[in-house]
Amino acid sequence: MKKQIEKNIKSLLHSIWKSGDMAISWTKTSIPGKRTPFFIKNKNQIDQLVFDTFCAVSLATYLTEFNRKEILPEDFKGKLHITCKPCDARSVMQLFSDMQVSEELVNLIVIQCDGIADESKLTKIMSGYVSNIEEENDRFICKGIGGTEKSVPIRDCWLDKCSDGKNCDLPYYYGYYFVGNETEYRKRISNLLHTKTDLVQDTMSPKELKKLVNKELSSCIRCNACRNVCPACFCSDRCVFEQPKVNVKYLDSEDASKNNILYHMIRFNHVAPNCTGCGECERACPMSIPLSMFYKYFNRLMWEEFEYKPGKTNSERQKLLSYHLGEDLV
Amino acid sequence: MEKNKKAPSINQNPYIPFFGKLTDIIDESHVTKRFFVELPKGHEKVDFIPGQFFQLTVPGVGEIPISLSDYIPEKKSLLFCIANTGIVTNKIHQMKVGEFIGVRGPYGNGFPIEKFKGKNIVIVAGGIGLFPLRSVIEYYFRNKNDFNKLEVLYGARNPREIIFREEMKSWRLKKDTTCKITIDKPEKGWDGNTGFVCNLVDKNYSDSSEILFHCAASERENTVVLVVGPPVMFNSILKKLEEINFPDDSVYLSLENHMKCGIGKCGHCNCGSKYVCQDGPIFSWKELKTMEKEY
Amino acid sequence: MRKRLQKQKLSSLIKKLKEDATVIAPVMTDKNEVDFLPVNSEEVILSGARSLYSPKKYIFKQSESMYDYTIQDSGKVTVKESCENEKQIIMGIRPCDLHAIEYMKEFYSGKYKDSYILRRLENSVLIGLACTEPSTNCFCTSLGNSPVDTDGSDIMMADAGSFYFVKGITEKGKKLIENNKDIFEDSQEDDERVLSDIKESCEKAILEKIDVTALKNKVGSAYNSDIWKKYSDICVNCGACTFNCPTCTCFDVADTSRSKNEGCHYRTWDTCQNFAFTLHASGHNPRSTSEERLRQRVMHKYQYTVDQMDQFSCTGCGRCTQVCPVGISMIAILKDIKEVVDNGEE
Ligand code: SF4
Ligand code: SF4
Ligand code: SF4
Ligand code: SF4
Ligand code: SF4
Ligand code: SF4
Ligand code: SF4
Ligand code: FES
Repeated sequence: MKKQIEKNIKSLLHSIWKSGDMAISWTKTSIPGKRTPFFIKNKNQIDQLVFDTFCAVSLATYLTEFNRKEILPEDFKGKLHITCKPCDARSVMQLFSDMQVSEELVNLIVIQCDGIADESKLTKIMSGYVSNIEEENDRFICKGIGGTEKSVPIRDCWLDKCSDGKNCDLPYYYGYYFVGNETEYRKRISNLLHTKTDLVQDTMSPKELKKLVNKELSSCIRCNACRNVCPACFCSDRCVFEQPKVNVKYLDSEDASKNNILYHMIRFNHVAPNCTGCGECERACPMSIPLSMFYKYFNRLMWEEFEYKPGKTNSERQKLLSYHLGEDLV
Repeated sequence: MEKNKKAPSINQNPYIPFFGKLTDIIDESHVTKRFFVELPKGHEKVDFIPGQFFQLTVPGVGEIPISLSDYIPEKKSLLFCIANTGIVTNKIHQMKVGEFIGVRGPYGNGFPIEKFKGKNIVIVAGGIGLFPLRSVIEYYFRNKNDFNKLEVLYGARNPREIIFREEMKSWRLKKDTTCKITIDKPEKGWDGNTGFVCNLVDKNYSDSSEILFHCAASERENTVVLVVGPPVMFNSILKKLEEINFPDDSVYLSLENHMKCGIGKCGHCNCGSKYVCQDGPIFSWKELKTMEKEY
Repeated sequence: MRKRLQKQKLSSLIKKLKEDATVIAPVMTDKNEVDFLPVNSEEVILSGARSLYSPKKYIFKQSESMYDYTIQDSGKVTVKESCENEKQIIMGIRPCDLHAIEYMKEFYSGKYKDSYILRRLENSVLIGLACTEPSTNCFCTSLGNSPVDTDGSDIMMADAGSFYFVKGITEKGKKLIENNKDIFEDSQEDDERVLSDIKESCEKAILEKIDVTALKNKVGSAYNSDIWKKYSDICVNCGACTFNCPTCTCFDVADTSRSKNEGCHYRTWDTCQNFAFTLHASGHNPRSTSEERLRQRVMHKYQYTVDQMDQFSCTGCGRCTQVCPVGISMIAILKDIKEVVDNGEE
């Protein structure tokens, strides 16, 4: 079925492509289980596109980079097609409503998603070495050292957000193409269990919270991967941590763990109001820090307080930035 | 059990500065000041080549590379001219006489001044680019017999930003020395040259360089040009020199890459296979042509 | 000096070593990842593929104080150099990481010597471990290295089934073995063969190989080629690759004050992938685009250090590829470079 979806994306792109267009999608790498973002700059590259269980990277983050990068080809004059899993589409919605990218520019292609596997989880299960991966029904057949074979249930390798299912809703937006069967998709996600327990509990005392923060965040190495892949962290070169005249690049202590915690506190503050919970930060983190757990906590608070979920539509204003007459001041 | 080796003494750790007292601070232009730093005991002698720089530290604020404008052995002090451009320089500008500032260095290669002996020297500087060149000028006057003529071509944004005014007056009076100044835009009360400093090395310009354009060809051949300024400025100068086929191995430039350690370790100043802090900051134009354009 | 260490004796060895040094070895963390941490003896993992994290952080710390300063009432400033003299023994370092430490040692020496790092190296005993298996991303053989190289280690170990084959390499290492000789056993005639066996089987399992040594001194010719764009388009310039790279040596220096009169001068890791890394005070940035920064990383590893020190500063550990959040593979870049170089030579 997945092969069919991939085919359908390709033929959709072929049919809507006009000269001067560009598309962002995925393609294969030589590493088993790794897919990489792929910029299609002319029509005959469309067939190199890949969509399968390993397309974990959210492409929404590239929409934030247009201000900075010369990623659009020189002769670009048309539409920017972007292929998205439903969760990524919600990040795009948020970028629309934050007015970071123009809706006119972007053509959103949402793909029926069946759960995405995290290659690094599979690598861990395979003790660090995989020479080949085949997909058979709901299992991966992996080749390890000396040709040994191991069969791993795909669900065991799923990204956390996929087993959780809270992010899988389709956005309220009529301007997208859907590749696959929408009814089937809605049915699948309604059956997801939403049972993942959250790391940050409402019942936690400030002390417990602090302990948790210290424990989880002190191992950060400040590589900035979480910031740079995050579609809600869109300041690029203008980010506070990149300003030489303020000199907060690595913050203000010889103790790295203190700096790291402060760094994350700043990011929490900047990002919580528009975090769609895409989990990219966590996936990108080389230190396996469960970052999205913290963002989920903020998301939950915002839902309880304002019934606001970032990424639901293309036009809802951020609740922490807007105020309505008659609203209680907290 | 082998006993723990004694830690190397402080002098062996290249990152540790010594602290010198500020003995005098003089306002230069509205954004620049001169600072005289007294060398503490044990550090009085400085082996220094014009064009080299020091790392200055304001405790608690930060460290920056500043090129030395002059070393005055008789007073055992160093002269730094500093523009107020960032956090650290801003703090230095707030310092008062009697306070202490951290100093380590000198670092970098400096100008190959030995090679200039017997030659004419043309100095082209924009804005605060004249600061590091002052040490060359002082060296020239102290060893006048070793050199031929000196010409200083200087461009400032406006008359208020002109530095070394007094010195320039006195340099002009000396034998074999010319100074030409230009400001970017015409202004009331200014009757000198206007336009960018690259004009002064343009053969068609009315008040262009004496040595390059108004002397015998043999003079020009026996000349070195030293250029200090931001990349936009030196690129335009180089273009002009290219037009007159000036030999690229007689042009020297100082690069201003971002520096942190000054000793080739932190990687910030890395430009191709060179560390600007160690292999530079002075490069000949010829060398620069072979280097990656990452400065 | 050749010895055997029975596997069940490993914990008593660690216990003994712990008496006068911190022992650091690969263990399983609660994140289900193998990392180098101070150990207590039981849980050490000396098998399988290399860990995701290298032991670099014990030599070149993520962040460290360089000196403390005090401003006296007279205005005078005194500094106290930060000076660690603790002994440490790092176990289970893979050959590629040993090469990396060798490289660092040379890099931080030279005209100016980085006292902090060299001192730490002097106080460390490095115990290597030959790789019986590679990881998915390993490509050490491409750089002319091998999974059983001993360069850089004080002692080398290799898994020989029921025991470890142990080889004292430097005086420091030999002395450590001598001091604990009752824990080791004499080695047999052909124990050394275990190394060549391991080499053969491990090298066979390495997935990718291209001859980078043949590109020595030629990588620079790809500087102006158009291969960079393909990768820089998708690179988010995070720095995960450089911070996890065992040979990345760059750092940022800063000052912080704890009170009006006291504070310290410290450094932290920094990366050339960062926009502000080369930003001039004037606002001019020599490497302002992602393309230039990605190229800097590759060029620095395969060309600039060849010019400066006549060696690649990549060991082929494959970590940059493994951690890259968008799947940029170093070996893929190298393949492209090779193509450019080959085409240029025709
Ligand atoms: S951390 Fe804050 S300033 Fe930096 S990119 Fe994210 S939102 Fe912007
Ligand atoms: S903070 Fe993390 S989960 Fe939230 S939008 Fe950014 S990358 Fe996604
Ligand atoms: S990705 Fe992980 S290690 Fe890197 S800065 Fe973010 S939290 Fe820290
Ligand atoms: S790169 Fe080579 S030496 Fe390093 S862990 Fe892999 S196989 Fe071992
Ligand atoms: S880890 Fe990947 S995305 Fe990040 S800077 Fe390195 S190559 Fe670029
Ligand atoms: S560049 Fe990549 S493969 Fe090479 S040493 Fe660094 S992390 Fe390892
Ligand atoms: S310049 Fe870049 S690649 Fe080279 S050592 Fe520094 S951070 Fe690593
Ligand atoms: S300033 Fe640190 S390497 Fe040049």
